[in-house]
Amino acid sequence: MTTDDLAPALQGTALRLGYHGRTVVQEASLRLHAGEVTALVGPNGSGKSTLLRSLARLHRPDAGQVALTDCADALALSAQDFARRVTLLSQHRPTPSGVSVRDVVGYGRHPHRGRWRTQDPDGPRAVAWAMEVTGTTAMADRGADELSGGELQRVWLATCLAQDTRVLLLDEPTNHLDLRYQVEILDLVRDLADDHGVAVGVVLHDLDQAAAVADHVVLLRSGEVVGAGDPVDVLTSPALSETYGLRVDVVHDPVTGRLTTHPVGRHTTRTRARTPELAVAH
Amino acid sequence: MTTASVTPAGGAARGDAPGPTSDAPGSPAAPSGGARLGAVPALRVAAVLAAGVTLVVVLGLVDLTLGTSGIGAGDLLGLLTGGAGGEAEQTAAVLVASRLPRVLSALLVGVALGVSGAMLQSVARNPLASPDTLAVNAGSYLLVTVAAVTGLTLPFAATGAVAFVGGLGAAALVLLLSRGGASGPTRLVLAGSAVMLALSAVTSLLLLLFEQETIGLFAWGSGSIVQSGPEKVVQAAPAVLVVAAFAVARARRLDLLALGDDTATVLGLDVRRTRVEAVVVAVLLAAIAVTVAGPIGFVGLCAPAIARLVAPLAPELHRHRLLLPLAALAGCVVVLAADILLRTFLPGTNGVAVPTGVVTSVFGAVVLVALARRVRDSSPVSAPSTSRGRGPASRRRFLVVTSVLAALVVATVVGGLLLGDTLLLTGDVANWLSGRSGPGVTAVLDQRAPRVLASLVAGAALGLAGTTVQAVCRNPLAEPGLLGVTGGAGVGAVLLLVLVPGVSIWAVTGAGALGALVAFALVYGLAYRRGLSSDRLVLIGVGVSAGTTALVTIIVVTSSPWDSTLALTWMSGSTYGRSFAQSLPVLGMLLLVTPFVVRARRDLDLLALDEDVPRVLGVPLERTRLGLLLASVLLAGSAVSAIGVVGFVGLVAPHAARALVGARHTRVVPVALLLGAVLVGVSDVLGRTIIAPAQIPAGLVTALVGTPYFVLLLWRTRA
Repeated sequence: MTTDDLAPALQGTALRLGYHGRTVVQEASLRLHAGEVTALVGPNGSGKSTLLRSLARLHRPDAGQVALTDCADALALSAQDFARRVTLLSQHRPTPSGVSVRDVVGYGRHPHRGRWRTQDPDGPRAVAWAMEVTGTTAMADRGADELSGGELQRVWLATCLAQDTRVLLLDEPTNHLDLRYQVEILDLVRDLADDHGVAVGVVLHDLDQAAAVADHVVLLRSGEVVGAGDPVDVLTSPALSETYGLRVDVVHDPVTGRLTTHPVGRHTTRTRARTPELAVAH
Repeated sequence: MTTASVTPAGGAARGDAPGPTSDAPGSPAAPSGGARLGAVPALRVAAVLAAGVTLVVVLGLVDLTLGTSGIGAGDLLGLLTGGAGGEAEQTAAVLVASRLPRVLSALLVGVALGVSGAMLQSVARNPLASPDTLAVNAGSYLLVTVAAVTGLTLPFAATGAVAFVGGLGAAALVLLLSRGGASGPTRLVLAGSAVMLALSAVTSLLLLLFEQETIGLFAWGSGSIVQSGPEKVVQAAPAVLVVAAFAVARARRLDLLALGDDTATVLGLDVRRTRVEAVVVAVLLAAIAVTVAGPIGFVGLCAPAIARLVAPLAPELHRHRLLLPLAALAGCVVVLAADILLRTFLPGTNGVAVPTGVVTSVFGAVVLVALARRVRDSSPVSAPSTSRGRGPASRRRFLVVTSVLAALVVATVVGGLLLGDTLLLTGDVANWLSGRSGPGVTAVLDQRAPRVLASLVAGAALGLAGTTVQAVCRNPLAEPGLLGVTGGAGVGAVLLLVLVPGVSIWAVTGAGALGALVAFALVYGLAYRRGLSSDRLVLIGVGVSAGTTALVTIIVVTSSPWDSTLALTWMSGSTYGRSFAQSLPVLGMLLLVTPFVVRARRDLDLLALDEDVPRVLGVPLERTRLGLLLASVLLAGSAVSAIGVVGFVGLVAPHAARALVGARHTRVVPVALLLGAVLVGVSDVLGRTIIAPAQIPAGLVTALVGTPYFVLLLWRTRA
């Protein structure tokens, strides 16, 4: 899959977003490119989720445009056509009762299905693949209301993947997952971008994860984009300290080249000072 | 977004993220009491409450000046300023014996039902819950009716006692069936609604069968605050005050309960005990209210709803410690204002004939609808999910269930043709079909066959309509009546029956259909504001349907009380005297709409989840919802027009279907449709066979037959 940097797969331009007349995001622009992962980071209430939801047409912008590669006005597209191109793993994941996990993942084929046909040709393959890569195949026949929070989250991610879209938006995809699945899901996100040319937009709270997985990072504060670009350029100690209102140290591992952030709390220095001698002194 | 737009002042600060986010540090303390109230919020709370109290006092004083005796404000003022003489004495007598007790009973009923409803709605986490939902009113109405039928002529006070016992008994039955509400709020309100419908059916049946003995009870059934003396009020007042004070004192626990079972448990609340305690207190209050004024409907539903809609004025009011008194005030306002309206616009004897409960429904409905229009789209996604089915069912199970139901439909057709006041043989039917039967058999079958068809198609239509409405509204208590269909059709049909005596059944059908469509247009039009929110739709729907249903009663009572049997029969749902031609609209609608619903079966799966999932998966939300709601209206409207009001099927058939074959609508739709057909079909056969040659309307039998089965299903699928 070739990456076309000139035409973004999905772009929001000058989006103004709000709730009941209260503006939450003003004049934000965002471009998601095919084959690239863009991470949205920022404090609580900075408008990350709202921005992501507006790109998925779940939040009607008060001003601004949303455009797709093949469609200048994505807001005018039919619901089904849009759902074939863009999907979102919402933060609110309902627990369906009385249906199996396979049924829920099968929901993802909804936009691809004709109204009367019971199956679409690619359906079974897409569902099987989505369940495999999210590690949900083993629970296919269980009831969706018997799952744990993390399991259910992977099932909904599988539903998004079964949708087989060129744009994948994820709202905190790792927040209920154990260590293994956090890593696996982020690996999967990387694979989707690298191997399948999917354009990924992901809201993450873990800055280290964002730095590790993303090609671009967008830093938001109080509804404004205060930084966008390469993780190394955006996730700097001054910018993060200013944004989060807390001292944040940024360390670049010289060996792996990985970027790690260290928020400095009131007790952080004490923890550091707990050297063996001091421990004895206690 | 699911976050409420207002962060409660003094409560725990919430992050931007709805749902369980891991990052928010979150203060570990529960929202503490009013201790951290800032000065301004406290002022606003005080202002709202003071406004409420003032309104109640003013309304109470105005109500004191109204009545049949012609004693007005001037006379009362004269009494106050120490006027003497016979006239003043007479004024005082009226005041003590009639006016004061009436106003006091209005206040008592308002407080009791307001608090009771607010508690039940919090426990059930469902804005449709109310004392009626727990069958309190239905139980008392039934026992009073039974007393009347069995010839017990009771003094007025004893009627109150009977009502009290009946209300408590019915609620106890509901609590027993739902294990005291411990097995979850959804189960509680579902069991309650089913029992309520069954008991009401028995009551209606008795009213129809024992017309002479039960004269006047139809009106009692709507509740009236008119008192013949101060005794009852004086007895009830301390009880209401003590129980209500207890409720307010324990209200903090309801705040915790509102956070969800898990959070509440973590915060040290015994969830089960709290739930049972709250339900018992609510039932007690409702039972006292019934004792004082008969079953005054809808106050218990709309007063808390109004309180919740007013509460955003000062967020602190969402706390139950303040919300319960606010609901009590709202209850008083509704009852008093209804009484004043009644006495102003229907002075004289009509004002006595029209029960207060009916006017409270109309007035409460108007207020509720007006306020509910302001409910915002982003109000917290209430997720009282549909009843827990049995999990994903196997394909084999689905096939078995469908085949059994299909066989039952056939059996119903055969049984329906053979059974009734005259027993026939299959040979008679064969002869009739080939046109070789004798005149007697021909007459019977010509009259019977259309009824069988009418009951089957109407039942199927209602089952299908209920499935659709429940999925779209995402509320397990939703049913087609919620769209205003039933009430609207009732108003249309009864209005015509009353205005044009002896009008043809065709015209009644047409008027009913028209009324249904108008009522739905009203509900949808009022609920649509930049999109449809389920919460808004449900609240406005319940308001409009309660208002229209009350209008039916007003029309019947004011125009021709002696015609109430006719209206009652129609409202009970009957297939009596139906011709093939009358079933045709329903059949046509069924053939037309069923493919549309089947086509949208996967949309229904998604719509039943939340607002996001269907949109992410490419369902054009508003268009699909409107289409599906309209489909339900056409189905239910035509069914109601053909056989009258059969409320039970639309509520219960979808739940039963889910319990049988899981929640996927590919399976639920056909099963609910067949279940509806069988339920009404069998009920119709039973209704005209059991006490032949007399007949019981199918709608009543449906509730009687359906309830035990439904309760059994609920019992078997309990968590």
